[in-house]
Amino acid sequence: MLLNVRDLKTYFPGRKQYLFSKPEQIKAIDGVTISIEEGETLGLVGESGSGKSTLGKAIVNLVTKTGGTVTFKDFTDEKRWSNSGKIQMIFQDPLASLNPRMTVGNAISEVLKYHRIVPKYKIMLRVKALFRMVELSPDLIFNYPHQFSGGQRQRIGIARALAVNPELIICDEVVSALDVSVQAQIINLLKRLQVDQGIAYLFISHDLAVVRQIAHRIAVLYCGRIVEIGRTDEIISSPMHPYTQALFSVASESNSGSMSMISTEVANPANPPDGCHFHPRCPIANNSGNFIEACASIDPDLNEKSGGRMVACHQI
Amino acid sequence: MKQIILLQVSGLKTHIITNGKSLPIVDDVSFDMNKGETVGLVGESGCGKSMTALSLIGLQKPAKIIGGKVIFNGTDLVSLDKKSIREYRGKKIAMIFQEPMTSLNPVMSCGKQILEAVKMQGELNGAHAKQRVIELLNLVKYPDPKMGYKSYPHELSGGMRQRVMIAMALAGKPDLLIADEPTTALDVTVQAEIVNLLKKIQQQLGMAILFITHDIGLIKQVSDKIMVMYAGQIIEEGPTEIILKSPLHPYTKALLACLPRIDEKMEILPSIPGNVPTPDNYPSGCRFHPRCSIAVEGCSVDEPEFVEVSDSRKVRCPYVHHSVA
Ligand SMILES: Nc1ncnc2c1ncn2[C@@H]1O[C@H](COP(=O)(O)OP(=O)(O)OP(=O)(O)O)[C@@H](O)[C@H]1O
Ligand SMILES: Nc1ncnc2c1ncn2[C@@H]1O[C@H](COP(=O)(O)OP(=O)(O)OP(=O)(O)O)[C@@H](O)[C@H]1O
Ligand code: SF4
Ligand code: SF4
Ligand SMILES: [Mg+2]
Ligand SMILES: [Mg+2]
Repeated sequence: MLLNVRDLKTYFPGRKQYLFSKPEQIKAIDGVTISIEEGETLGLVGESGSGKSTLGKAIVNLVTKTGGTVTFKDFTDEKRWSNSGKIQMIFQDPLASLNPRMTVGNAISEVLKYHRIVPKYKIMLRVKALFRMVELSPDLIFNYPHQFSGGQRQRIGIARALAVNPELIICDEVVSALDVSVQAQIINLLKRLQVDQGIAYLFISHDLAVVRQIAHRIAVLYCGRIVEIGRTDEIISSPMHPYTQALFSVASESNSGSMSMISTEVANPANPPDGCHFHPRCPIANNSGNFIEACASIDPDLNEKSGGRMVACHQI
Repeated sequence: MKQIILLQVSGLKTHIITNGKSLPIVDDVSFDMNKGETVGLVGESGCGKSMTALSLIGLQKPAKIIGGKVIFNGTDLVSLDKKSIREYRGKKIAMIFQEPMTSLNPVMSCGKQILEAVKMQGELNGAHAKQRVIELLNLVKYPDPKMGYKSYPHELSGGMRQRVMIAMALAGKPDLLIADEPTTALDVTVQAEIVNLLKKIQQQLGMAILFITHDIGLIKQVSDKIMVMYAGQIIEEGPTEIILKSPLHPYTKALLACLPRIDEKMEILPSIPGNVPTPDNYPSGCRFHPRCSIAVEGCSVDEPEFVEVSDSRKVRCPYVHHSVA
């Protein structure tokens, strides 16, 4: 196993309701257990605010963990691997964090120097090789961030992540802002890099059709908790959790015409419902006036159902 | 049913004037819309969708309409002065945008903002205007209109904010609603809700909608007719179902092929080679020729015309006309 996340929690301090009351807690990630194997892609889906980005950031220590553990390979000491760069994270706009007055080639050289990946005299060669790896002309290393299109920026973000020879890249909505054609090119690139270099991905996206194209397994996050996890084709052909079912029915019907949907608004991690977080919207729990008590009071565990499929629901 | 023409855009040219250059952002765009019809405008980022929409209700510098007509209910909006166009903007023609947060005032309650929009129409005030705000909140299916009245934009989810924006846009009972990527920032489930809401309201009020999106999957559910835009020009137009099933223009075909499908996994996703050209760099002849898989020599020289190839179907490529049965 490459990555093991156990019972991970990240709580953010929220607003104070009243002047002297304790501030509420935003339970962005509330007990998540997942694992990723070498060379595997785990897709992470869920609605806005469900905690997808927070989970990714907690894994690479960009936000503080409130509880739980993250282990990478057989490193037990988290400090050792978290500084090694073996896990990288890229975002929707990877160049937003770059110095606009530094050429992209220099920006990548900095990373190589910091991690002492190659001897100094080989740095420029390595930068050019990285550009070729992401199918960009090496001539472009002298350009500045603003001179690139959206798709090129994403390639540079990937090149920068590749600089440190990562074994896992967390991709947070990396193709969401791109046009379909460019999106297809970037997905093809990520898949090719996986085949060539055995890199694993945690692929975060709200677009299920995109996740379908790249993920071996899919994890569905709802209000800070995993509600279902399983092999991509199985999750898509037979989603089990009522939330997964709703999510995928909207997505596949938008391919074919009509639409059905679950009602009401998205869940709020600052004030999640008791029991199963999904119960106010769940069609099973609220079945024809027949309200199921357990759903509103007991938090369902994520249990294995069949063939590695895990589901958190009392009624399945 | 007899179709009544609401909007006729012909030969619209909108340029952006910077650094002494005049860039053709919208270049010879023509289309019609009937009363109560929904028309989808699709195309990749930067092709000029928003600029086309803004040309209908009034542009800001450095953009300028340099040619063409926009005839709305018989009046050419291009020829109107700033003052007269105000009679249309936000009244008979209203617009909603992708990110409602940037168009809403963060320090004013949503109710007040809708109230201002109602008062701007100059018909209602006092208790009647307030009553109208509640009516509008009901119309957009706001779950608790009284609460909604008092809430502030930052307290609302994206879907609720978009409802507030729609309520404001409907204040003037518009004949045409321009929706520029109204659901792009929303979740799929919420997206479905808003799209259904717009459809319902349209049936109730009979307004026309110009629906702009880069999401071709979404367009299926909303529009009767679609127009595909590339590099400032409309390159294909026709009934939605027909275009999606049997596109004619090589660009439309390529674009549809790129769409990832949830019911099918592909080892390598098809994509269009090369990049979308920018307005300062449009290729000669057919603007799509450097990326077109069936381009012939003449394509880099001759500018293709936008030609009607069958009933209500138009395409800007002379090499595919014959494929219409
Ligand atoms: N630094 C922070 N401080 C306080 N709250 C935060 C912080 N970061 C995230 N949150 C909250 O935690 C929850 C989860 O947010 P997160 O960004 O992880 O969601 P997401 O699934 O990535 O959503 P999206 O699809 O919109 O990107 C949200 O309610 C968010 O408001
Ligand atoms: N103020 C401006 N100055 C210079 N160029 C501009 C300006 N505003 C827009 N443009 C250019 O005009 C072209 C069309 O822009 P427009 O916003 O209409 O595209 P769009 O199709 O709506 O794209 P998107 O899908 O990204 O919203 C783009 O190439 C853009 O770079
Ligand atoms: S536990 Fe109950 S509320 Fe939760 S998903 Fe299952 S049936 Fe629905
Ligand atoms: S005119 Fe030529 S280049 Fe343009 S779309 Fe038709 S075949 Fe392709
Ligand atoms: Mg996120
Ligand atoms: Mg736009």
